[in-house]
Amino acid sequence: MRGAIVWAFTGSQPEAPFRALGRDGEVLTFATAGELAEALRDGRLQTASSFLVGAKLRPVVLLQERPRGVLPEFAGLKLARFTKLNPHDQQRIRDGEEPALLYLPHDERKYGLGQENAVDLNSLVRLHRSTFVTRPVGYLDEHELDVLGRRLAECLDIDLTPAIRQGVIERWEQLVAAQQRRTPKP
Amino acid sequence: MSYDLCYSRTRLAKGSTVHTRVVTANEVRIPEPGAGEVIVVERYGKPYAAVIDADMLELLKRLIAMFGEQPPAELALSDVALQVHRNSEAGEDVEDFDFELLTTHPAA
Repeated sequence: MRGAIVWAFTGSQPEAPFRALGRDGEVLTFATAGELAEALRDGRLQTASSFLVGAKLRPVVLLQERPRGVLPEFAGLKLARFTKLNPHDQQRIRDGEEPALLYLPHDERKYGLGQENAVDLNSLVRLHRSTFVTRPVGYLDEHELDVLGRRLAECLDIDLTPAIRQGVIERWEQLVAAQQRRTPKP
Repeated sequence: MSYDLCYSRTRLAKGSTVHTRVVTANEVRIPEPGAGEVIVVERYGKPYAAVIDADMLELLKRLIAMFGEQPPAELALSDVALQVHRNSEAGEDVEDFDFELLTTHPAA
């Protein structure tokens, strides 16, 4: 499923003002997380997880394989359109000049989508398998996944340099050791 | 070309930048470094400055860029990316679902 594009329901993150179900099923609104916690403490809510949040059916690209099937959740990124931008800014996305947006041209056979889109690298979501409305309608190719992975690490502020540095050092040491083995001793 | 620039007492700021001061070759007298050679200028028996050729300078810059501290990605987020993100999160610029897919590509 890595690189697959599926249509799924993505839920919004709870945010203020919070809406939650009261003990009798009524909708209660709380301005802050603190007020919500107080209501929870006072037993005014059904459960802690009874938030009312928005959800939307939309295309997403999945970032993970689940070969064992023991984890029903997938990390994914939302696909977005950019029709509301001016033509110049739209072209920047098409030309790959926006690192936080991976452009997907209109290619229905490849991506299974009816229009051009962009992968929003700042839209990381966790998707339960049961929210999938379709099986994969298209796939990103290996090159696109490679670019996506590198850019996503940057967007998430994941510092890969220690691992890269260690790899460079190990490779360097291997080369030096190989050279020393080849050098005849006086 | 190898003595176009002289870099003296370069300090790494905390982070990833190198502050360079450019002087023309006419202003200084330095030995010409060969390719891949570093000329270390000593004072009181200790390294004081170094002269490197232009290729090695480029390598140095690349290494610093690679291994220097990364600024938070949010600082580099453009207005374009931010607008697309906001529109998308608001559900305002998202492709419409083709309900034919319920028949042609139903979820497993």
